[in-house]
Amino acid sequence: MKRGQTLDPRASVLRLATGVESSLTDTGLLRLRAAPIKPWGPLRALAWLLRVPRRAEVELDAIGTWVIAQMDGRSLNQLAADLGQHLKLSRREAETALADFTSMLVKRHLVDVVALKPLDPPAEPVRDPAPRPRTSLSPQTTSP
Amino acid sequence: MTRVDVPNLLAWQGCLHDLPPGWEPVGMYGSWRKGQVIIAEDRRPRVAIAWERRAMTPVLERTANTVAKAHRRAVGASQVSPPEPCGPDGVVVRLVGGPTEIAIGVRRVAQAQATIVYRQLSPGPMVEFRRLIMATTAVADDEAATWSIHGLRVDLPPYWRTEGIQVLAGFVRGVWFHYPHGKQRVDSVLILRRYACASHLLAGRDLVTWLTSQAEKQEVTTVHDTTATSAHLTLTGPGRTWWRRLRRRPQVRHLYAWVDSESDRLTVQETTGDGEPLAGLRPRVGSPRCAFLSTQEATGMP
Repeated sequence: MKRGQTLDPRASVLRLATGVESSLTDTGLLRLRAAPIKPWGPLRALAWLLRVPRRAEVELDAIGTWVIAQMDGRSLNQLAADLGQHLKLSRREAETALADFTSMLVKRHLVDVVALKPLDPPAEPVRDPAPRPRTSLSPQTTSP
Repeated sequence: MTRVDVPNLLAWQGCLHDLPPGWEPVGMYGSWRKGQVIIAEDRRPRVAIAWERRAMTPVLERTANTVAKAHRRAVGASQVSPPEPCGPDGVVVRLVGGPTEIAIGVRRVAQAQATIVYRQLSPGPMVEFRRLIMATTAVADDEAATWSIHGLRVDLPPYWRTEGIQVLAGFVRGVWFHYPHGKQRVDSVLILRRYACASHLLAGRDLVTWLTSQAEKQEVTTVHDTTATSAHLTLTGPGRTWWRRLRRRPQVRHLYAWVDSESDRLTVQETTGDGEPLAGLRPRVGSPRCAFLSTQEATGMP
């Protein structure tokens, strides 16, 4: 499985992808339409033959509509916190739910995750610089 | 967002642990007889708790040293400290001389014939670790057990054993089988489901309507009791197999459901099978600790 870029949730924001059109339904729910797909060459004929939809279109439920409405530049971390407060979820539940929701929208090219700053490199494990003295409590260690 | 600062109880496979606030299980393996649970705080692994129920009483110091030596190389420690007592039936050893200091504890709960091994996964205060070891209780095979994990909390009679738990965002489902008198044959099944966002799920409907909408077409609903936040009903349908249908043995599902308005959670309890159906397992209102202590006192009373 291909893994994407690791992002810092404290410094990443969600925003609608370029070309995505949003509209409200009669019941107040949000409908997102991605930019049209333009296949090239023989793929165009294949897409016509297989009746591949020209664009992705999804209608969100009330919770999804609420999440999209909160995408005003706040970080993913803050968005998860707000979602947890809104739905009375624990922090882990809110983070998991938001991650699943985001990945589904990203897969359909409806939402982009934008990193405001790169993730800090992982810290090197602390190594003991000086060789440790051997003691009688470690009889299995033998000198070469 | 609410942070759970009330006593954080983890009751799983007959062992009950009083975890520090913010700690939660992130991995569970094994069964009633033998298994392990991994505890983490946020994204930081904290402790691994393994248990085994055997009649033979182990030598605690030897067990602790064996576990310590098995993990000494991974931790990078050069020495294992001498065993220190931890309560009347436990010992603690420490892996020292490495970049980090890790503690390992062993406790024998004689009443339950259970040996429990605690292993720190990241350095932490010893006072907290010792408190975790000493606060653990366990029940024997033929005793009633408390189960409390991921928001599910029930007190079950003896010989109910879990078959699995599914944890998703906003949804927890646990399945228990009843083995009468510890025998192999299962006579009842209990399924507990706990949903978040109960108000969104119900969408203005009452509990009976919502439960009935999920019943199969051939099932007949009998409502026994219903209030604004709870319901009890029975769904009766044709037997699952042709042999049961030939003998005119219907499939009966007993459903209890209740809504916790404060946390906006909906819990559905479903029992089925030939055994005695369980009554509603809705926990009493009050702190979990008080409920647990009353249960513990009740087991020893005549």
